[in-house]
Formats: sequence, C-alpha cells, structure tokens
Amino acid sequence: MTPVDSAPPPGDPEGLPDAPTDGDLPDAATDGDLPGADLPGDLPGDDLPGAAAVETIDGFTLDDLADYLERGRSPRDPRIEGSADCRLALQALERLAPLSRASLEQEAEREPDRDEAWIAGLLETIRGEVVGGRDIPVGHPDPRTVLSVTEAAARGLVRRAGDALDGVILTSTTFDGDVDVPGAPVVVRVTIAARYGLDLQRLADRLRRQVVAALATHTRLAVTAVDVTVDDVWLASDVDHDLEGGAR
Amino acid sequence: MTLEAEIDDDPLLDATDGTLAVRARDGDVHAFEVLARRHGPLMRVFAGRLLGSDLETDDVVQEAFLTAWRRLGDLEEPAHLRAWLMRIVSNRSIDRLRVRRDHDDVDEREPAAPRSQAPDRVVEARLQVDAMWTALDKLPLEQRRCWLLRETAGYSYAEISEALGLPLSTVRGQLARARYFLMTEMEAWR
Amino acid sequence: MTDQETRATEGTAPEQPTDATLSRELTRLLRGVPGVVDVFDAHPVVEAAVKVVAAELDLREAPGLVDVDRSEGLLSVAAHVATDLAQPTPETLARAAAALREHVAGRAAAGPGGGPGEPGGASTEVVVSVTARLVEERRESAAPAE
Repeated sequence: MTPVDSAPPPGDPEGLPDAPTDGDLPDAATDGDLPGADLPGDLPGDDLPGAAAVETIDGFTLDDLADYLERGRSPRDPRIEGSADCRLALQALERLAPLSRASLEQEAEREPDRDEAWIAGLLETIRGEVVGGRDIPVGHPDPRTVLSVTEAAARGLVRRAGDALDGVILTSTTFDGDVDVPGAPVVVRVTIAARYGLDLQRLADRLRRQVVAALATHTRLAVTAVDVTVDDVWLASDVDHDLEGGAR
Repeated sequence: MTLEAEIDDDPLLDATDGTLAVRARDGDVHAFEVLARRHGPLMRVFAGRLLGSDLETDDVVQEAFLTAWRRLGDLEEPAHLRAWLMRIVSNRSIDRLRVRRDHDDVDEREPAAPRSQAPDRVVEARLQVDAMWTALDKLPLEQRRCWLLRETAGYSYAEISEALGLPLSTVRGQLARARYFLMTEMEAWR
Repeated sequence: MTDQETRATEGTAPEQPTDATLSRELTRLLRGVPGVVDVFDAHPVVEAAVKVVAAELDLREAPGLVDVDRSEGLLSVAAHVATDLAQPTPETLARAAAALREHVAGRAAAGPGGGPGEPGGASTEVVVSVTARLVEERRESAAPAE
C-alpha cells in the first residue's frame, strides 16, 4: 500500500465487502486522466462562472494540485514547490478534507439521542446470527441424548472471565484443538489489553485460573493450557488505586 | 468482583475500535452494540448528506451495520473499523441512489440541511467547522456526493464513476468544482 | 393456521397435535427448566425464514422454537438454549433433555398422534439434542412473552 502523506488517509485499505472493485487507497495516477486535461467548462449543469473552469495557479489547475497532493507530493515537482501560490493552495486543499470530516463529526455529536428502537431491532437480529462455530460435546450416558455447548458460548465464557478482572479487556479468543472431539486436548489462546502498571504475570495467572474454572463448570473441554498474550496497554485516565507496580 | 458490569462501569465503552471489532467478530454482541452507538451517528449524518435527505438514513445505517456484523471476519485491520464502516454505509447509500435513478426519481429537491438545535448557532457561525458544514450544504448534490465519496469514504475516481453512474470526466469535473467552491467558501487561499 | 390445527381446536376429533404444536409445547416447557434462561430458534436456517412469515400470519401464538423432525423412522427433537451462568451447564442441559424426552413420551402414552409413533403407536427412536448457544446471567425480564 502506498502510504498517503500528511492528512489522515480517508481511504480504506481493506478489501471492501460489497465494493465492485478492490478497496485500494485512492490512486489518481491509475485513473488514466492526465493532469491539466480539459476542465468541464461544457458539462451539463455547469453553473459556475467561467473563471472556475479555467482558474489556474501558476499554470496548474486545482485538480492538478489535488492529484499532486494525493500522490504524496512525489515525485517532487519543482514547478509546484517553487510557486508560493501553489503551495498556499496545497495547504488550503489539505485542510478541506479534515474540515469536511470534522463538520460531519460535529453534527453527529450534536444529534439528539435517537430512540432505542433502531438499535434494539438491530441487536435482536444480530443475536440470532451469532455464528456458533463447532459444537463442544457434553457427555451423556444415553446415546440418544446429544448435549453440547457451542464454541461461541465457550468464547463468551472466556471473555466474561477476562472482563471480570479489573484492568483487563479481552480481545480475541480461540480454541486450539479438536474441541468437537470429547477429551481431545485443547489450548485456549487469549489476547488481552491491560491497564498500564499492573503486574502482568499475576494478572495472567489470575486470568488463567478464572478461564479454567469457567470452562470446567460449563463445558467438558480438556483444557491443557491457557495462553495469554498482552498485545495492548492503556493508561488509566484517573489515578489508579489498584496499581500493583512491578515490571512488565 | 461483580460479574454483571453496570452501565457506568462498562469497560468496553472506553475500548478501542480494534478491541471491540475483534470481540464482535468472535461473537460478542455487546461489543458490537458499543460500536454501533459509537459510529452510528456519524454514519447517519454522512448518509444523510449523500442521500440529500434523512428519509432513508435509518434504513441505510441499519443495513450497513448488518453487513458489518456479517463481514467482520473480512476486516484485516480491526483498527481501521471506522473507515470500513464508512465505506459500507456509502455502498448502501449508493444502492438507494441507484434505485432512485432506475425509477427516474431524478428530481431531487433537497430540503435545507437539518441542523441540530443549538441556541448559540449564530455566534458559532464563525468557526471554520461550522463554515464547512454550511459550505457542504450549499454544494449542489452531485458535487457533494463526489466530494464525500472521495474525501470521506476514500473512493477512487473509477469507483465514484461506477457508483453514481457518471462518466469519469464528469466525476473529475464535479470534484474540481467542489474543491474550488469549498476553498472559496472557506476563504482559505485568497 | 393449518387445517390440522383448525380441526384440533374445533374439537372434531380427539386431540391430534401436530409437530408445530409439539414444538410450541416443548418451547414453553424448556423455559421452565431450572437453568434455562432463554430459548433460541433451533430450526435450520431456511426453515426459520419461512417460519417467520408463517408467524406473522398466525396471530394466535408465537411459533415453537424447538425443532421437531421426523425422518427415517426417527423422531428428532433439537433445542437451542441459553443457560444460567450460576449453574453448571452440563447439568442444565441434562435436565432440559430429560424434560423434553419425558414430555414426548407422555404424548405417546396419551394417544395417537404427536408422539414418537405413527398413529397406531409403533415405537420409534427419539433423539433429543440440546445445545447451549449462550451462557449468561439470568435477568428477571429475560423471558419474552409467550
């Protein structure tokens, strides 16, 4: 991915789920138009004064400068960089997108709280679509009775165990092993974000105990290990009385 | 240690988008709820500006979140969630625009941009951000769409052309006009 | 309502409960099992969509969420539930399965139709499966209105 310089890239580096094309970052160079190409003086709905169509700054149109900006100002064009007016225009152009974004965000913040109906309906639908994953068997003496707990439910248990610990937020949870085979060894892998300053070793041990206990109560998983990775740390905004100190 | 998080103490409220996205991907409905409340308003405002009215924004935002829930597994960088959501809601809005075009609802009379009621609006008018909101509102609908899709949703020229059913040269032209107009309105470079 | 159900409520024959009725009964039953906090739709996805449409037309009762399937000489009853965090889930699931099995057997004893057998009462294998899709704290207002 070509990094876009200066302002935060509005582009989405992800492949877009429903996009007709790949969601690449905007790359003006691939669009096939040459800089300085005919401006739309004659398109339908043209209601701007003619000056807008031919306005140039030291020979460059706004379009040219905008494209230059998007290319990350590289390769460096000495004619543009050497023109004070061009550089002023570039500065102004650079401000437009963030300002535009900020005006939307400000309006969003000012919006009165919507009624709860929209989110309640959405969550209800979504709840029904939680992908269960594999079924983790729970034994029963009668072979005609099949009991199980879904992997999603088990993940929920692990998340809950983690969230119950102060200063910990679980991010991802996975079960490594054949969870759908009774008695097969399973390793639980979790990543967590932890509050800065906590004794991560003790935290991890407590988390392990909680996870093992929760899974033992609610499943028949043969958990052989709980692998805890701390991949993020956050600072408490207030003074933290729970600071346990200790090295990371 | 209480297991039931009380509303005020909900740690997920402060969690990053990345954290929430990963949890939601793993099935945590509550994490998704936090994301929906966090990003919903912006998505609604954005959709409203794209569509030119608020009539369909609720539907569009709901559809967008539903798509997001189903495709969370596709998100490679959970931290880029917001940009991803903006693209999804753009797509849903564009679908609506296509339906309008197909039904020849070409005459899009746009009501004045809905403003939240703030008593000191006049005083704040001088702030740049407010000036930008007003400027965006003054933009003709097609220019505004090109602008928003380009600058907020990160569409390429080709994608905008396809989405709005406009020739590529028209897209460039509309963007050029939009830029010029906004820059002039913001009195940024004269 | 289906013709069968109409006939049943009109009382023109000794009660001929259909599988839809059985599903509803089993759903209600499950909600009363200690440790079961909620019941989800256990029907296969395609069927679920059809059921939603049917439910909108049937103003009398919410559709049953327990999947009742008869094929290959087997009566299969499948339930998806949310279990209580405060009680071991395996025990809750076992209780739920026992309750389902007992009710289905009770139907068979009660008379023709609705039970494991074909009308005529030949015994059929009954397979009961209960899956916990969620484990959470019981909330007072959790159970939706029937």
